Amino acid sequence: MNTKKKKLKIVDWLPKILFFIFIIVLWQTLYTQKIFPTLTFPSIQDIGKAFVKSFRDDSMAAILGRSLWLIAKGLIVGIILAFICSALSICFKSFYSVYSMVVSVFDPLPGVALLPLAILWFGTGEATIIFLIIHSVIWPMSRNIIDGFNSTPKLLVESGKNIGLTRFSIVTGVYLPASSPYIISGLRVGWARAWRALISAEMIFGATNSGGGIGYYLFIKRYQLETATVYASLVIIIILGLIIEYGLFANLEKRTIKKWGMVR
Amino acid sequence: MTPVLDIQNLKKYYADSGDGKSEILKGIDLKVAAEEFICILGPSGCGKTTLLRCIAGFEEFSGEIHLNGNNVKIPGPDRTMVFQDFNQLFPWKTVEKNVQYPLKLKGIRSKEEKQKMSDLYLEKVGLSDYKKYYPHQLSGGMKQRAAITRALIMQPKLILMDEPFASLDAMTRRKLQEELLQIHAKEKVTVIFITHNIQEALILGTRILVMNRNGKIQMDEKNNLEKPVTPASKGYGELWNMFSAALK
Repeated sequence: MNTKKKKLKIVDWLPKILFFIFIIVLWQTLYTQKIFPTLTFPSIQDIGKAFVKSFRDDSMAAILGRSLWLIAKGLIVGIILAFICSALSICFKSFYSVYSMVVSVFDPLPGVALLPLAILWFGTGEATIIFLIIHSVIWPMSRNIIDGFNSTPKLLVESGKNIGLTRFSIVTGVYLPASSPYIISGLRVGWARAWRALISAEMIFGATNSGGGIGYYLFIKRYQLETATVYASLVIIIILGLIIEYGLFANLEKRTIKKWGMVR
Repeated sequence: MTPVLDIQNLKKYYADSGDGKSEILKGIDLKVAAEEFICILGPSGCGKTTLLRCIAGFEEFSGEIHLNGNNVKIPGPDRTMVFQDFNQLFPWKTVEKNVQYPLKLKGIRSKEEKQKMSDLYLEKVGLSDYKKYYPHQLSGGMKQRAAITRALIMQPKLILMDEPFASLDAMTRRKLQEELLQIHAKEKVTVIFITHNIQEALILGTRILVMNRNGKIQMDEKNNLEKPVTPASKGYGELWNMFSAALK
């Protein structure tokens, strides 16, 4: 069993690592052939150096910390609101009919389109960014939770009522856990949208009172024509995305819906 | 003796595709005494399941259903249903937690007490070794055993069973029938059990009802065959033929 598991892991990881090596080799080959101008297409070494420098000289850790802290605040508020509104939707039909319409209206509305208004209301500070993050999280998250609730098997709902769950306790007792595959995919979408909202907002109005985040850093480096650092920042964003995907989401899936046999 | 369950003039309509309403149950009257094991036979679509769902409180109906004198309108833990479908256990809880869940809802907070009760009941159905398993790791028969345990642990006045063994293989079904009979004898519960299998009704039931396509109870007979019932039991053939004829 164990060796089989290990083999599976290698099958899972090896192609991914090979893919990255392939990209790096391809990049360096293109660089040495001088197909693109060096200014827009720096070497892997330069990007690597810029990567190290960003942490050593530009306190990248603090920059990331600021961005992630903002995301965390927006995400938490957005997710809690999404849960509350979705729970109300399953309990009250009239709330559901209004809320599902609201979700359909606001979900496709890009956060950046709301930015001018948000700046008028909240100024160019933290509040605006958090507002945008909440906007980008709450609608897809609600949609996923409600979809999950709607596809909860009637059999489980009746089993729940059968053993004494009431109209409200059945939400936490049956609907929520039964929707976990939908909720996890909602979290994925929410996280991705929040990241985008944050970086766009930071790039548009720059630093907040406490200093700039990764989006602002990216913007300034482009302005200063430090292309290698711009690429390094993108690499940092990608690495962070990978950590969240494989460290957080994949683990969460493994400990919940995969363990429960709710997904393959 | 006052009946545990008293159903008077139970009617149930479903809105059909046109403007009209189709009547599934056309005035059912039924009294069930304590510790009876009632088996309901009937052709598909005769309303057996609807009757059970009305008693469980899952359907709206007209007429009266009283359980120990209390009017039944909504689902409640005083009568529990075991469904035919294997997937009635909560997949996110282990067998043990599934079985303990109703206790928690009943207000039993003490972990030791819940553990003691679930161990006791899981032992009765032979699932002790599987208590830490998740439902998807169990066979169909084990899942049904766990579902029956979850129903029993609530110590309901009435257990409603909607063809719980219909999707099992013959061997497992025989075994579960035996276990259910033992449980019924020991726990002194009242059971209403739906089946389309005459043999199953004769093996399990102390009283057998036949429903017909008109949504009425057509036959209501005591089953006086001596337990355990086998096809070789005295009187088995006559009863079998009688029910078989009624079902035609």
